[in-house]
Amino acid sequence: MTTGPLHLQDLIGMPLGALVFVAVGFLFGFLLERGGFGDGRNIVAVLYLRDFRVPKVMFSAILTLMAGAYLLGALRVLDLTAIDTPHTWLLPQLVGGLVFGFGFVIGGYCPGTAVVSAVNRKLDGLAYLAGLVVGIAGFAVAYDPLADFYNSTARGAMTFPGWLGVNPGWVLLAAALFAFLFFGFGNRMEAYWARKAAASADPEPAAKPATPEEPRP
Amino acid sequence: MPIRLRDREYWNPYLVGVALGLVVLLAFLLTGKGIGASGAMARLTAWGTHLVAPGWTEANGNFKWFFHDHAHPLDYWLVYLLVGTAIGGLVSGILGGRNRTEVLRGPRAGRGLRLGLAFAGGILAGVGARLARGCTSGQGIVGGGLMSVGAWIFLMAVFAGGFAMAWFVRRQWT
Repeated sequence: MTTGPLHLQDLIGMPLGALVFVAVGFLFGFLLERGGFGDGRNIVAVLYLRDFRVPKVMFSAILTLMAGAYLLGALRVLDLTAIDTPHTWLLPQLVGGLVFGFGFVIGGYCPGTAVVSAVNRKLDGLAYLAGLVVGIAGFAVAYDPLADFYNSTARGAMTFPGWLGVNPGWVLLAAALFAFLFFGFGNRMEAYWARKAAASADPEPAAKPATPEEPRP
Repeated sequence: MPIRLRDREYWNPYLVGVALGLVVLLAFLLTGKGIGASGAMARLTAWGTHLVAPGWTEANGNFKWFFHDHAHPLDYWLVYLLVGTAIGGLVSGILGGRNRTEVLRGPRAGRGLRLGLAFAGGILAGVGARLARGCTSGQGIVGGGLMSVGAWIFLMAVFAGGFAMAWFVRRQWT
């Protein structure tokens, strides 16, 4: 018999049940701010290959979740069939991701980090949230002509283990390899910018190279 | 590495990532649900349009689900989660000495440019998150961790879109 999920919010009922989610959100928001994501400059820096906080946090979180869910499921502590896996719509998620990515580097945040930024009185975070509301309302206004595309290429709860017919352990291993390659590349790039900053801060640079050193990924 | 709450330095990103993953696992165990931010923003938006145009909002194909069975759009776990996110971010920011009024921007960007682009970027992110049915938290972290194919497509597309657009807005950041 599996023990989780407990569905604590149903056991204790409203309004106390809401507090469980407030508590989870508190930890989420606290960690986002502690990770440096209340400042959009730390978020977009990865897109200029300067600071790899975003992929480091994201992929560490994903790997922890993957390994933890796998382990808790195998130990029968958590019934994974009771957790809703986000469903797949191939093309809407591809196009939505691209548009979201444009907004990510133009605006400097994603929705959760913008909240963390705005509550700490960052006016750019607040402006992003205002834009977010306008974009969401705009999507609703334009929904009818977009509905066919929005509902196209639906694949249900499509997961890599189910699709490829492999054990989740292999997917975890592949994701870990991908993440560690990304971390390694990120660390080399961060070291490159640190050297460059140290060289330009040095009042008497010793034998500066004539041409700036190119990053070697 | 010591962990201090009254810390002006950010925490180690790997540590923050592992902690975030553990928080989602804890949420799974306690509630059977993960995390997400854009869903709550959509409900806030629908709540706002409902104040102005209730009939339109309840008939809208994208918003009507929030009002199903006379439900209040804000009486939903994602909204409570967002309230917690705001409080947690605020507490961390105050403890870290980072709570002050400012416009965060690159060394070459003016305030007006930054605020305008933040607003424009928010619009695009709102459209993209609705089209993809989630954002970096609900799709990216939770969906990615649950090995959802669509979540990984979304995540890779976000980075691809970000890299593709980065050059055009470099004056804002570098």
